[in-house]
Amino acid sequence: MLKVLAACGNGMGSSLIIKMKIQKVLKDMGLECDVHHASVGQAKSDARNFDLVLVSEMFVKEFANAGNAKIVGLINLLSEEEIRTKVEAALAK
Amino acid sequence: MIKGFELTADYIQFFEEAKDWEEAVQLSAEPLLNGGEIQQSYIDGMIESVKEHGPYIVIAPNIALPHARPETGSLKIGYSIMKLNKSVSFLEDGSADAQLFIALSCVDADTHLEILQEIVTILSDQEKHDAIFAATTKEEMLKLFNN
Repeated sequence: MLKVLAACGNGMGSSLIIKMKIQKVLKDMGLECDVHHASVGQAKSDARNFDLVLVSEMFVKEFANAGNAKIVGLINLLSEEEIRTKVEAALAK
Repeated sequence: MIKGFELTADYIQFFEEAKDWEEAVQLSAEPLLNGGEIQQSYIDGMIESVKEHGPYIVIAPNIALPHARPETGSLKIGYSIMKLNKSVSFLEDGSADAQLFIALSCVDADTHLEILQEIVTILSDQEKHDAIFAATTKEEMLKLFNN
């Protein structure tokens, strides 16, 4: 079970969009997941408890101390293709 | 159709341009202000959160989703759509431009999920996405969002 965290500025909009998309992408990839969403502020302290953290590209730099969590920065939150490519690359690391 | 909110022509706007992103965000949310879904303080909250966190409300190329924390002054759920003929830049380097603005009133962390789901489904459909950017009338826009 992959533990995933989606985060955005206030945890109300973009993070929910990322959550919807990542659930679909991981399902298509045949991976089980548990997806949470949060604001970047919250997410920064919780990140190390997750396998994968997805945020808007501009927030990636805030997650320098995320332990083993893999941080994925997204530009187009609506593009399942972008999410899949980046997630596959992150998981392969 | 969203429970508790009906998207009507009053919530759809077209403008030639906005002088900057702050004006664009303000304009995009005014139908919600006039409809009683939000207070001005909620729009101020939208602008503040961009100033604080950067333009993360630009969720995809040319699409912005202004929203704020409910406690800043959201009264009822709803959303309004604004399209500019000329995009505005949130960043000087042009990496966060937006032409389509969908202002969202969130009353708590969850009830707007249904609205978001609908919006995301519509915008992820390439055909509808292109039709939205090509639309020039409120009727066209309504049809795209309301079926």
